[in-house]
Amino acid sequence: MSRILIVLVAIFLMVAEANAKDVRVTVNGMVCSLCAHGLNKKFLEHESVEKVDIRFDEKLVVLSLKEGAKIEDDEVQQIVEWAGYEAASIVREDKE
Amino acid sequence: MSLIAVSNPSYALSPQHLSLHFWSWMLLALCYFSPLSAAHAHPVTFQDGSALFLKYQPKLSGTEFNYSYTPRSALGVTHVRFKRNAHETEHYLIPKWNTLYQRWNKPSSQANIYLSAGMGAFHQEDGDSGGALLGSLQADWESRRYYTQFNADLIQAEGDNDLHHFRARVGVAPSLAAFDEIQTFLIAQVSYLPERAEAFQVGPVLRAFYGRYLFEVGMTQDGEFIGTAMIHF
Repeated sequence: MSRILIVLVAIFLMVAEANAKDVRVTVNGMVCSLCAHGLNKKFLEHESVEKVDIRFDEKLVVLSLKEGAKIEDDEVQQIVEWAGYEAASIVREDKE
Repeated sequence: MSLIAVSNPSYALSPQHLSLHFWSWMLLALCYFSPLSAAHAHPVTFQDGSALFLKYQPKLSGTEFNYSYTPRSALGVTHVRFKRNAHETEHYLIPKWNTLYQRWNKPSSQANIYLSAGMGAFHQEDGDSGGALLGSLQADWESRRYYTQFNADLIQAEGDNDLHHFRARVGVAPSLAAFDEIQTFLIAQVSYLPERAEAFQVGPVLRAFYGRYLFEVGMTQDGEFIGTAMIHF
């Protein structure tokens, strides 16, 4: 019984990890709006992404996900590469 | 919080009619003004991205449209109009392949080497015409504050209709803008085109970009206007 409980809690935590979080992607090489346009466009094409916030000062692309939606790290990395850049890190944070 | 480090990387002015009118005017501008290769364009944009580039100078103007089928390769077509002298004006129409040969993505800067090759045709306004080959190199480095670029565009055409254009640029941004603001750069440009009587040209260029749009206005030492527009979509 306790094992089942542990498994259920683990599954819950994994689902919670992928959902209801902002995804903060640090992108190397993102230095101008024309550069960032491709990132903005490509991320917005993803069905889970509701909003993209480009922050040059922090070298960040912040993805706000739709309610209950998720995006995997390898998808994030692939999209950044499609745009011609490199993801230095992917951080997930609870929405404020 | 988790952190995953990534090793590398109607004539009633409906929107439809306004859009149609906009693109009609763009097409007219293309036909009329149609610089050497898309000199300061982005030869490759992003996967499934396209770029339209227009540059106007009274004696050398041009247009390029390209489509990036991968993040590193694009197919495009360029049109160059060159007024060689008071009596000779040539048009070059060249389908081309662009490749991002190398890119260095650093935390605060980006550097690129692009190569292009193409094969097409030229036509003189007096009726002479023939085949033309194009080869181009573009190297650039930019941060949010500084910008440098070098271009070499070579067209080898039948007869005595070659065109060789070399350009170097350095620029600085007076202030740093956010993604949804207008970013400006002050640029010094030097250009060498041996087929022109005034082969060396030097002048300032003001660049502004906003989102996916880029505009430039400048002037040569002879007072010749330089105008550029580019859009990514």
